[in-house]
Amino acid sequence: MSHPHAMSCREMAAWLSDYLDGNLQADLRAVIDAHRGDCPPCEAFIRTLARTVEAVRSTPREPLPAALKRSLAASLRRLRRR
Amino acid sequence: MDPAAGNGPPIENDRALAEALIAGRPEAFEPFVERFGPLILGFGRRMCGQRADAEEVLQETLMKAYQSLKELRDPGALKTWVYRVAANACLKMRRRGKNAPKREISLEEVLPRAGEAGEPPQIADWSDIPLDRLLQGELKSKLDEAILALPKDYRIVLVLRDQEGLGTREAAEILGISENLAKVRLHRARLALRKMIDGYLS
Repeated sequence: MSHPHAMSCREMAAWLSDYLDGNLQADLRAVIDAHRGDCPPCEAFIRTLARTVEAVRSTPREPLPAALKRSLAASLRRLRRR
Repeated sequence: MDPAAGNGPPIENDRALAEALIAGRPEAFEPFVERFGPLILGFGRRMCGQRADAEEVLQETLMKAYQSLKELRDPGALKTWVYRVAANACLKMRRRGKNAPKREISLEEVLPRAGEAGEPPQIADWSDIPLDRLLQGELKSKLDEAILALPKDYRIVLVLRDQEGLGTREAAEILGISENLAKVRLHRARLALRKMIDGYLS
């Protein structure tokens, strides 16, 4: 692919986690913003990577059963008495 | 947490909780279990896959973290401390039946390849799939399997950062690795996971 920007698709891929986490300097972010606007494969790649991260972040947490809670607190109390 | 349960100062944050535990205040145990039980159970479940293994990790973590609390120099760092104990418990736990070999993820294997004539790779855009679809039924099972299929050293960074919401520095401290290595592993784990989901959806 040929881009008018200073970064190839491959070079850009190295920065994508920092990009999605908002940890990139403004100039580098602007280069990636411009690149994805011109490059449909990279746009799809970034969007699906972002969705992947969101899915892991949104995993619901299982509640701790009351019986397990009681048994853990009881084990800790036994340790204290030793 | 119930500040009226004992005679000491109220247990209103992690620092106060750590200090109450170190002082041996019995009313601190339930808040300790309430605070870290669900977190470590979720962490253990992602790392080990099996609920029974996750409960074993939780039990071991809370007991060991409590017993070793006197070594905690900054009581405000209780959360990092507990996760460090949990990470060690997970990394020690052998996969049932066989030992998982250590494996590195290369960028080559997780980035799309150009076509034979050098044409751009075809990349399906499934990013519009609703999150509740990704997190239910068959797709959820595929996501769980894909996370479990990551090499352990990569999976643990992904879980600490993206599931548990810890920062890069905290994750690196917990694992005893450099921040740069934590970032590299997180990035490759995310790319590998994207590829595995893509293989299923495309």
